[in-house]
Amino acid sequence: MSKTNSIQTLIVEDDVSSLILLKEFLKDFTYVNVIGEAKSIKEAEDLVKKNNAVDLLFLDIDLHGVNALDIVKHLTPKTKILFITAHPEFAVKAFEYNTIDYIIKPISFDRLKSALTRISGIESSSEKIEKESTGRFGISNMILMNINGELKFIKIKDISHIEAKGNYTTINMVDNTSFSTYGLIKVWEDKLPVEDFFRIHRSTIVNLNNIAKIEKGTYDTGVLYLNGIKEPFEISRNYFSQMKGKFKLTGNI
Amino acid sequence: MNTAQDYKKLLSKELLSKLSHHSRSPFNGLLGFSELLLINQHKLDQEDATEYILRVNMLAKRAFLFSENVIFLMKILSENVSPVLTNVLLKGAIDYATNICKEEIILKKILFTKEINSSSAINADPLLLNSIFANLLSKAVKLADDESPITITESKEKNVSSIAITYKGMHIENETVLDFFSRKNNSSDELFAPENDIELWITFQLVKIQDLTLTISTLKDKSTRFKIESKN
Repeated sequence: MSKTNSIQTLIVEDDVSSLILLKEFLKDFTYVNVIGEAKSIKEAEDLVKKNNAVDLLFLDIDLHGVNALDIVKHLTPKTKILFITAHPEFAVKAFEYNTIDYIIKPISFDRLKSALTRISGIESSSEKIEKESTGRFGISNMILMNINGELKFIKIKDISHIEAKGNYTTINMVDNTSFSTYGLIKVWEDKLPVEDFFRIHRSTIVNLNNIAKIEKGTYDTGVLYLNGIKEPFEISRNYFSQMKGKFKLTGNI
Repeated sequence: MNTAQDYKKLLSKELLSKLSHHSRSPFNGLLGFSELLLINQHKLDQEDATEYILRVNMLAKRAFLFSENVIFLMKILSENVSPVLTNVLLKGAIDYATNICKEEIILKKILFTKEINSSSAINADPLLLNSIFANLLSKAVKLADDESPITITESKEKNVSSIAITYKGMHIENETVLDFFSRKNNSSDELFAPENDIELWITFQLVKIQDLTLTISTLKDKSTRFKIESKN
């Protein structure tokens, strides 16, 4: 999407820290183009009057003790409003306007993301990269990772297993080193070579070349041991069934 | 024994609303910036990371100062403040206040100067004096324009020691506040309820119980000056 198709956005926020925070979070949404900001009611009125056909307005309701809801009347119906405020009591009133969401502070990235996806066509840059990228890595490929602030190449074949921890993923290498990175395990599942890596649980992907043994668990689950790791990993019933189907495993184990 | 009615009178709806706003603001920022640092730790360049860490520190200190103020507010409203007056070095109280405001001074690129003699002292309660200067300097930094000067100076005339914090930026807008502080024999606290400005209200009360005086004035060059005076 070009700049001309981007979402032209204004921010009205009196708290400098909240303003900086919001702008930093918005950097990940490349289609949101912040064209102006205001920190007081006076600045906000001038800004909104000058840009009354803007696509999106982030609005904090309380500006140094003054209710800023009135500035909405200067906008054209085209403008969508996303309230970000510490005041839940204005929520009902806020939805009388062209409001797409009402976020109660503190601002979190995930909450902002979910609010922004209400405007069609907006995707975060990380999502866009994921979607645009259809190819998978090969087992002999190397990938460039940011590890503790340093860019390092790691070999795909040296990955032992990958574990999901909330929005983070821990990459465990065969030499027992590990590092965490922000992102869902699904991203790795979609990028790793299917011949060599297999998801055994919603939170675990393993390198098939590193499996020491698999045992049968309870209720159709599996128990998987990796080389050099004493603790076994659970293969959930669903993934165990897929594994057996995919690799044509027959008979009892 | 206090009744619910007494508490209702002391803790007005407006005061509770202000307290709620003031308590949430620094924590909202703290939660936001710590999440930002967590999820963007590998993406941020050194300069941005430093700024955000400074903001976390600044917000933590704001939260700390606010919690101190709430305790003082409760003590004052319940008439439970007993100052222990002693000879206090001004430098110690000013250093305490500077430390509370240090990060905000850096972030706003304030041109900060202190001209305090290391041996100057006044008769006051050390803890209450720390709080007075922390609140006044914090207020000055908050209202000062970016990259503007803030100075802390002391002077002595006859038997009166004065410490002034001067900044350039937004004035204390509420005329009632100025009116209140400029009255020498103020007979009614009704003029200035704590909800108008919690920090200034607490500061004023802490000044009053130590027999100090506080004046707020706008100078010829449009800067604002907080002045504490002590008769030795």
